[in-house]
Amino acid sequence: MIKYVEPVSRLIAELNKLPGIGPKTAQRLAFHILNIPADEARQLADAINTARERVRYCKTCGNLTEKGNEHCRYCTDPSRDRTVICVVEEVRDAFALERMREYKGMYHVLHGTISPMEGVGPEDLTIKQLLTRLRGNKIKEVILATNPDVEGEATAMYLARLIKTFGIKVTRIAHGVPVGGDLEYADEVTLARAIEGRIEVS
Amino acid sequence: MENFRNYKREDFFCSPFLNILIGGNAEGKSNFLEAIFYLSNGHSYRLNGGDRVLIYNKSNLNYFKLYGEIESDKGDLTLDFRFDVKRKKKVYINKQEIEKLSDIWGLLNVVIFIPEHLDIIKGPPESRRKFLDDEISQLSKAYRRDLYNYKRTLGQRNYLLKEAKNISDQLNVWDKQLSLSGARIIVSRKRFLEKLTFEAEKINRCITGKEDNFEIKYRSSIENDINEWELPEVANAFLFNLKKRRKAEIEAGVTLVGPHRDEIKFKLNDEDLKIYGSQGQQKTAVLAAKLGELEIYKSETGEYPLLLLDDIFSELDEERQIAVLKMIDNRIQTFITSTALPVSNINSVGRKIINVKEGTLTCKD
Repeated sequence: MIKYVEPVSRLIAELNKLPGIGPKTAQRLAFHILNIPADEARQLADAINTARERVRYCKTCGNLTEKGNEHCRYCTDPSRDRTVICVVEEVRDAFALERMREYKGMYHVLHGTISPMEGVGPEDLTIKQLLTRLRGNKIKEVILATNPDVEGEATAMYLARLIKTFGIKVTRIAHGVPVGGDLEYADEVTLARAIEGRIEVS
Repeated sequence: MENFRNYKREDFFCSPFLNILIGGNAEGKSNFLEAIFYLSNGHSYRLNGGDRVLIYNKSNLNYFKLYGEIESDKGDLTLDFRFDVKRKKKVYINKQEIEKLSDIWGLLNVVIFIPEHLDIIKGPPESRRKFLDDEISQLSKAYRRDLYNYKRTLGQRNYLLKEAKNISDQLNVWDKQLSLSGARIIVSRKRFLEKLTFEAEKINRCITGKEDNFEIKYRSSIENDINEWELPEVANAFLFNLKKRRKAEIEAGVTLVGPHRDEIKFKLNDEDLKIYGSQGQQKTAVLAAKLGELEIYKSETGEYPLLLLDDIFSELDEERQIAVLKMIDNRIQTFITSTALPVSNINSVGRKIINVKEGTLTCKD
């Protein structure tokens, strides 16, 4: 097999490790990087380095924070409600919830879900840290906002059982028809879930 | 069809009733049925994945197209598939591109009958479960989802069982999840078979001319603990069984009860056709089940599905061939493939006899 000179094949190999990047895309990106001005390439390398260097996980909730700050901006914001914790799978989920500007409580990022097939057990998630937070006895409610798929549901159920032993209220986000959506176009699985999770109109 | 299997390019107007495709081996009869099935499901029934092999192999082009115009009581419809090796598969409903393949499910329903189906009764339990799952999935997206969730949960749980270290707290969670999706599957299968039995018994009597009792019975691995076939009861019975067998399951490293271990029994006058049935009785039973499905589709969706009989007609004796023709005559759009004209005197109105030769279709009359 014909190989590129060593630095190029190394760059391709590294890019290939990224999610969603196959050998062909890796090759294309590598040659793109070789063709851009040296400055731009340095900026890219620098951005990767800085991000790795400066970004940390919040000691309390697992969200992202910058080096020098042990806690993230949600955990240090005095205007937020400290009696409610919303549990999410990934940092980007907390980010999505934050975009709606409605939720003013705290977060807890699990960094994954329980999945025996992938060798991920409860001890591989930030569950211990969550339980430590609950012991602080200020928490009134935990909202479980893991994804509504098989692993997300299992993780939510696992957490619900643990949290209930603390005597704290546990809620699960609702599943169903999207707001602004047309009932007629919702698929039958979503509709069935929406009927299951119906609420009384006050 | 364009560059599909051995069809370079072919347009065809089908009869709304009986279409008989006649031709030698490897001329393209089954490929035509495959194209119709593809329009219905977005994949082939003759292979798993790998749309690439469906491309016309004598050309150096790397795409195929299928386009279908469907007239229905619910409004007319066009379905359009374009597969290109370099790009993704593109699907259009009424010329509008769709994002999820699942959007086409249920738009064009087919019931297909191939020679392998005749072995459903003789074969292993998986073949009967697959038969059942395929049919219910076509009628219910919710069932398809339940099945997916169940298999995924089962995989996770089996993985956990194999590792077997301090797992009881985790296992409790997977037990619960498994019992929820599992119960939905069990109840759906049970209800479907009750309806199917009702239809198939009538058809079986029609074919044989005897007043036999015919039943397709669901035998669940947990049925001894089920008093009422309702969701919460079945889920509880399932959960109870999992708890009861926990030790054995940890030892075995797999889940020993549930829909994936359930059985479907074909019974004639209360006797198991798998053990006591003759070849002919077994064939008739499968035929009755397949034809019974047509009626279930009619009652669930308001319309008959298309009936595809791939290479099956010659496997049936004349008595059964006539029974099928009587059943579908002027009611159900049907496609039959055969190497020779099946019965000498098919004279139903609106039938089309189509000669298939080297990937071209010509109408005989």
